[in-house]
Amino acid sequence: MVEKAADATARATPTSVAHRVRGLSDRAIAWVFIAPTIVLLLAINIFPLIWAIYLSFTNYRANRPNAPVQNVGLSNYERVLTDPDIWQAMQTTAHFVFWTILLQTVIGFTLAYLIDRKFRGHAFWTTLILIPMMLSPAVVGNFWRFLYEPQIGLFAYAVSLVTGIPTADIQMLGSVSLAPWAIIIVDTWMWTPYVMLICLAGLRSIPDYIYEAAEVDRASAWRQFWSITVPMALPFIMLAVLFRGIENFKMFDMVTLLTGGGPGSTTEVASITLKRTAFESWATGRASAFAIILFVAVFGLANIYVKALNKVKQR
Amino acid sequence: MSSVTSAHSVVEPSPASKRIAGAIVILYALITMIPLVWIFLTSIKSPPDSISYPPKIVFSPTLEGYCNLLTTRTRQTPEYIASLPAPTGTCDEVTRKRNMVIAGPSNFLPRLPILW
Repeated sequence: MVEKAADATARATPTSVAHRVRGLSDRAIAWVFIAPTIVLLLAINIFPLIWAIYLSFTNYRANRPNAPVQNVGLSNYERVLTDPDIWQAMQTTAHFVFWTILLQTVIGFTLAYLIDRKFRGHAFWTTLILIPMMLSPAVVGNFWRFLYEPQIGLFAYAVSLVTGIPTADIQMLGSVSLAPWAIIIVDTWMWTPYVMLICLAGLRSIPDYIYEAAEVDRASAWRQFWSITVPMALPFIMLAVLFRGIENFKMFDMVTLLTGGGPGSTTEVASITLKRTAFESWATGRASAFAIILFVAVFGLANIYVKALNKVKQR
Repeated sequence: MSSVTSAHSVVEPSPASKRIAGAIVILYALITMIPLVWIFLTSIKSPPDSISYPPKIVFSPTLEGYCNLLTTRTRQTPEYIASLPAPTGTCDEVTRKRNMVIAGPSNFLPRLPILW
């Protein structure tokens, strides 16, 4: 089949071109075509990665390019793994990832389940719900900062209207206890539609005849939900959790725009610490080591998770 | 819509459950729209209105925000502004009300991707 398609392409090739490339095998031509892409990928993706691995074993500092570079072995890794600030950042990240995923999955799945009732005009409202997801994180971060302003922002005003707390006390971005939640709210607002979309695809993929059979067996709606809907949509929910988990583990843009890691370091997630180590302390070697550790952690966790996902799929 | 279909399906949600589902989804959609609608409303407010407390829901819309984004303005004396010919556009008009005249396009204008 593949051979025939290639033959047809070869026949369709103008004779002059065919003449010039005669002598090259199909395989060689294929290599010629993909070589530019491979070169670009190697230069832009793979080379920086390998360079970062090399730098993580040195004391290189990007603001002193002419200083002699020494090989320091594993001491960068040792310093990163014993640094209490970095463990604090990892805890902040874990808190952020846990709550955003929980909220987004619960709200997203509920919405998908309700939209799947196919009420009148559900397509229109689905489109409307998807709008936050289409915005740029830079735009979202900036306008939420405006909404969170305690003096003039709509959020503080609405909350004080409902609860009676004076607006000056609703410092969403300035208070140690509220700032992490401010970021969680924005991330949930922005990315719940994404989880909803994946869950909706999962629910739509469940064939009607299973529900019909359950109806014949006089299974209650509750039983149908837990024995059919949830197990069959579970691979999709898990996929959504995987995507959001990887995304939020390296969350940077929204946190930078909303709090910049503050107040103090209460919202300093791992990627913010990484950026500060690399471009404020200029400890490029240590930052590289931290980046490699983060990469290995995400890669390892994602792999374990995908194994579990495949097991769920095969059930 | 569904009342017309003659074939009855056991898996078709009941009208009541459809209504409840619809109500909740529409409520969620409207709540998530509030920030976006608010940002749009702020874009057509005058600078004092946009930072007023309590936040203004009723206001007279103006294009001043867009004019400020797209033009560079300089302050002039009222006498000079009075000596100018009639304003040629909306931006001219709102700028002069603030005792300023348009000096040219803003730095933002060349960066607008739609103009490339």
